[in-house]
Amino acid sequence: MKKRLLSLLLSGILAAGLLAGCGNGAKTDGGGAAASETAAEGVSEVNGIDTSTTYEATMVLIGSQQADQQLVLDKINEILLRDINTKLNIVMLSMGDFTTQLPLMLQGGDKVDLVPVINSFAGTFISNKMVLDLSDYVEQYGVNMKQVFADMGEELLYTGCVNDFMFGIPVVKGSSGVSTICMRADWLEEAGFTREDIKGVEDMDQVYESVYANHPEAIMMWMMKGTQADSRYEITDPLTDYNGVLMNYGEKPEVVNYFASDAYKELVTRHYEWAQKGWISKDAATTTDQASAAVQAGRAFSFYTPGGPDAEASNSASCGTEMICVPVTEGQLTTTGYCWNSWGIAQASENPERAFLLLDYLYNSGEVTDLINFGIEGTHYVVGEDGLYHYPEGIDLTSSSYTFNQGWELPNQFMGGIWEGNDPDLWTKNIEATKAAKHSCALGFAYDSSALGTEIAALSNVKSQYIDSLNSGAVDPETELPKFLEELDDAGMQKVIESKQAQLDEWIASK
Amino acid sequence: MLKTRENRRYQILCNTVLALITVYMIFPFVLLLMSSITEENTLIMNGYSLFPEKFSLGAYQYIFQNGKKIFHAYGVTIFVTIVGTAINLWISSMLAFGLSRKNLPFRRIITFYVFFTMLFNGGLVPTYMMYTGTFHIKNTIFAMIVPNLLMSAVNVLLVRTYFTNSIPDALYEAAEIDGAGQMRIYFQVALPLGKPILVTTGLFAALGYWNDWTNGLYYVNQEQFWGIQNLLNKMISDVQALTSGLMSKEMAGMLSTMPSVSVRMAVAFVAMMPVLLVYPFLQKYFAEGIAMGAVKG
Amino acid sequence: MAKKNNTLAKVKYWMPVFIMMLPGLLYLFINNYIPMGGLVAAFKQVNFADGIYGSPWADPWYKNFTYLFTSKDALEITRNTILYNFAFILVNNSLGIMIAIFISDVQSKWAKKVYQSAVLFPFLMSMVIVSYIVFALLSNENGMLNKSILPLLGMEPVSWYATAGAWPVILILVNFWKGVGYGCLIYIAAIAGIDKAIYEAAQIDGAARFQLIRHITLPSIVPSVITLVMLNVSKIFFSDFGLFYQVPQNSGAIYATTNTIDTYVYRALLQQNNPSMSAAAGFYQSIVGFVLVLAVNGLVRKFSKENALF
Repeated sequence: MKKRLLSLLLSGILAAGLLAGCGNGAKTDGGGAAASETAAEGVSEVNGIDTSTTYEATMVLIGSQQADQQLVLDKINEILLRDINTKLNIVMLSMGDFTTQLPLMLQGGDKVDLVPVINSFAGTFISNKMVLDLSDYVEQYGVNMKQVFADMGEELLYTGCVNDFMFGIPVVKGSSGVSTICMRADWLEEAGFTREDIKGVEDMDQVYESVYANHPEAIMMWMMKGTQADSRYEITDPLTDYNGVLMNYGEKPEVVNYFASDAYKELVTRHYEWAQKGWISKDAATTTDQASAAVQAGRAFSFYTPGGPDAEASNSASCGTEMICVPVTEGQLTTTGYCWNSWGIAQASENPERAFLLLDYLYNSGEVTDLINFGIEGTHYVVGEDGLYHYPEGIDLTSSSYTFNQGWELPNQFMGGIWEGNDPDLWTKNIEATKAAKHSCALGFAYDSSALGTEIAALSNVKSQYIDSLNSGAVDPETELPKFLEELDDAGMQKVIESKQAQLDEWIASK
Repeated sequence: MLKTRENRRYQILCNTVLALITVYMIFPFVLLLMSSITEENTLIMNGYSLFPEKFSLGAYQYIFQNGKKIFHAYGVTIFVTIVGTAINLWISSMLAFGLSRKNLPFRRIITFYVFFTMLFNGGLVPTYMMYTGTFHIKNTIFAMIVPNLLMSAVNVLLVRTYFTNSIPDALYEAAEIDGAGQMRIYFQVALPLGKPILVTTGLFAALGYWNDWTNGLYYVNQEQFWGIQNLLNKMISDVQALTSGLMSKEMAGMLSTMPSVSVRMAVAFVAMMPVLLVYPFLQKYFAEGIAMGAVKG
Repeated sequence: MAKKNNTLAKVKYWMPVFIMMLPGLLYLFINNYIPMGGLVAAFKQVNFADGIYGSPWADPWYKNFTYLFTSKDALEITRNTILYNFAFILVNNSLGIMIAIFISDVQSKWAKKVYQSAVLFPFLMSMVIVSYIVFALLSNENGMLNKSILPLLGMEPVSWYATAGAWPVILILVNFWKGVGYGCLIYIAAIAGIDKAIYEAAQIDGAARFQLIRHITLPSIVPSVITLVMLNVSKIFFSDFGLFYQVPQNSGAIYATTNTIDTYVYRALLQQNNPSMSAAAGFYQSIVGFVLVLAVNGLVRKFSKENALF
C-alpha cells in the first residue's frame, strides 16, 4: 500500500511539474518585459529612437567562450549604458556548432537580437522569415553605417538584400576577391623561379615541372574535397550558387551556365593534365586533409587560396614556412563575395529598433570593437609604439584570459586596432584593394531561389556528384564533362538560369 | 566419450570463429591508437600505419593542455550517464513489465502507442521549442539527460519481449497466491529474472548517453554543462576552423605547431578511453546476469 | 451487478500496473507526441514569423514532396535504401545469432569476456572516425590495401572511391562491424533466459550439439528476433547518414551504389535548407515504414499471435 501511494505521489509530482512548466512558458511569452529598468543616465533619445528605458540586447558571436568574458562585458556595458542605454549579453557559439545552433535558435524563437548571417544561410533565413527585413531601419536609423559605407562604396551597404528583403548589414571588410596560388618560397627559389615569373595560371606548368623534378614525392597542387571552384582561379560572378553565373568578372548582365563555358572546360582540362602528371593527388577528390598541414609536412608545394593584403603573411603562419602567394586573377567584387557575412536582427527580437540602434552604434565604435575583439587595454593587451596591439608582458596566447580575436565577424573591425605581426596599414590597404577591384554589374543583386526548390535540390545533387572529381582532375573531362552538363540540363539548369536572368533584369531596371 | 570429443570439436569451432571476428572487431581500434601516436608529418607523408616510422605524443599533449576542462567534461558525462541510465532502466522496465502482462487491458493499444513513437518524428524544431520554451531546460544539466535519451521505445519492446517469453505466467500466479502486490511482483519476480536483458539494455542506454553529443549541441552553449563528446567535438572543429582561413593570423600561427590530423584520432581515443577502462569491471555484472537466468524455475 | 463487481476488481487489480507504466507513457507523450505536431510542416510553406503551425499550406499539397520523386535518381535511391537494409537485416541477424550462440556456448569464462567486449566496442566509435579508418585502408595513394596488400598479391592498385561495384561489399562489412554487436547482445540475453534444465534433459536423451541449437536455442530466441527485425523493418526507408555519406567520403563517382534517400535529401537541401522539404522526406520515409510494419505484424499475428509486436 505504501508503495502504491508512493508511485501515485510520484506521478502527481510529474504531472505538477508539467503544468508548472507550461505556466512558466506562458508567462515569459506574454510578458516580454526586457526593458524594465528606467534610464539612470538620462539618454532618452538617440537617432530618433526612444531610449528612456534600458534595453537588454543579446548578440550571438562565433568563437570560444573566454575566461574573462564577464569582466569585459561589464566594461562594454558601462559604455553602452552611457551612450545608448543598452545592456549587452553575448551568446558564444563555437565554430563547429553555430551552423546547427543558430538556425535552431532562430526557428525556435529564442530571444536573441543581433545574429551573424553567413551567406550560405541567407536564403534560408529569408524564405523562412528567421530574420527581419532591415530596409526601413537602414533608411530611418542607419546613421553610422551609411557614413562608413559612403567611403568604401555606397552600394556595398545594400549587398545584403534579396528581392528587396534586407537580411543583414554586411560586415565592413576588404574584399578584393583575388584568387592566388600560394607556394613554398624555398622550393620555388630552389627551382630557379621568382614571383615575377608567374603572371597567370598558364605559367605554372613550367614551375611545377622543375619543382616536381626536385621533389618527386610531393604533390604540386594540393586540393581537398569540398573546395569549390571559388578558390580556384575564378573569374565569374557566381550569383550566390553557381547555378547560372555572369562570366568575366560579371562584366555583362547575361546569365550563363558556368559549367558549359570554355573557361570551366579549360580549368578542368588543365587540372586533369596536372593530375595525369602526378602533380595533383589521386586522393584530391576525397581527402579532407588541409593544405597547410600537407605543406608543413613537406607533402605539398602549392595550393589555391583567396588573396588579399595579408594573404602571404597568414598563409606563411599557418604553413609554418615562408609562402609566396601569386595572384592568378584580378580583384573582383560581387554580392556573394562582399556579403559573405553580415549582421541581421532575429525575428524574435523584442525591440528591433533598439537592436538596430546597437548595431548601428557598433559600426562606429572602435572602443567597443576592441573590447569585444581583444579585451581590456592594459589587462589583456597593450598598444605598442608602432600602434599595433600586443599581449602585455608575461602573457601569451595560451595564458591569456581573453583572446577572442575574430575581427572578421565584428560589424566594423576597421574601427579597431591591429594585432602585432600585421601590416600597420592593413585597413587602408584593404579599403584600397576593394575600391580597385572590378565591380560586377550585378553587385548588390542576390538571387531568390525559393520558387524553384525542386530544381535547386536536383542541381545540388548533380553538382556534388561531379564537381569534386572534375575540379580535382580525377576524371577525364572529355568524357565526364558532357555527362555532367547533360545531367545539369535534366535537373533544370535552364529553368533556373531563366528565372535568374528575369530577376536580374528586373533588378537592373529598378535601379 | 563421443560426447566430449564432439564438445571439444565444437569448442574449437566456436573459438576459431570468434577469434577471427574479434580480430576484425579490434583491428580498427589498434589502427586508431597507432595513428594517434604517430608523428604528424609521418602521418601526412605515409598515411596511417600499424607500424609507424616515428612516434609522437603531440596530439595528446595538445588535448590535455586543457586538462582541467577535459576532466570536468568527463565528470559531466559520467554523472549524466549514471543518472540517465538509472532513470532510463527504471521507467522502461516498469512500462515493459506492464506491457508484458498478457491480460493487461488495452495491451495492444498501449504497445502500439509505444511503437508508434519510433516511426514518426515531429522534427527538431518543435522538440527544441517545447524543451526550451515550456520546460526551460536550455543550459541546464537536464538538457543533457532528458531529451530523447531518457527512454527508448526500442528498449521497452525488447524488455517486454523478454519478460513475456522468459518469465512463465505460473510464476506471477504463484506470487499472487502468496499475496504479493504488483509492485512486489515487479521487484521480486520481474527484475531479478529479467536481469540479462536489463543489463543489456542498460548497457545500450549507458552507451547512448556516453556517445551523445546532440543534446549538448542543441540545448547547451555554456561549456560548464558540456560532456566529453561536446568538448572534443569542439576541439576538432576549432582545428578545422583554424585551417579554414577564417581566423586571424595570430591564431593561424598556432596551427603550425598543432597536429591537426593525428589529433582527431587522439580525440576519438580520449573519448572512449574511460569506457574501455571501466568495461572489464562492469562485465562481472554482465556475466552474473547471464548466470542468474538459470536460477529461475 | 456481478459484472460491475468484476470491472471494479479488474480496475483494482491493474491500477498499480498502470501507475507503474505512467512515467514511461508520460515521457513518450512529452518527448515524442507533443512535438509530433511538427509533421504538418511537410504540408506547409513554413516561415518562422508565423510559426510552423501558423504558416500557410503548401500549394499544391504535395509541393514539398515533388523533389523526392521527379528526379531521375528517385528510383536509384529507393532501390539502394531498400536493398541495403535487406542485406543488413539478413547479415547482421544471421551472423549475430551465430555469434551469440557461440559466445554463450564457449566454456572459457575469460575468452567469453573477450569476445563479448569485442562485439561491443564498435559502439564506441563514431561513424566519422570509422570513415577515417576506412580511408586509411582504401585511399588511392596511402591506403594500406593499395600500398601494402595488393602489391604483395601482385595486383594493380584500385581507385576504391571511384569503383562503384566494390561498395555494396564494403558497406555491408562496415555495417556488420559497427552493428552486429547490438542484436548479438540481445540474443545472448535471450539465450541466458532459457531454462538450463531443458538442455540437460535433452543431453541425457543423447541430443547432439547442433540438435540442441536447432530445437532448443533457436526456437527460444525467435521472439527476440521478430522484435528486432520488426524494428528494422520500420526503418527500411531510412539509412545511416554517417555510413552512406561519411564512409564513402561523399565521393561522386560511387553515388550509383552509395546514394540513399537520406544522403540525397541532405545534398538536395545543402544550399537551401528548407525545413518543409526535409519534413516531407521524413514523413515519406516514416509512412512507408509504418505501412510495412503493419503488414508484417499482421502476417506474424496470423501465424503466431503471441509473437506479434502488437
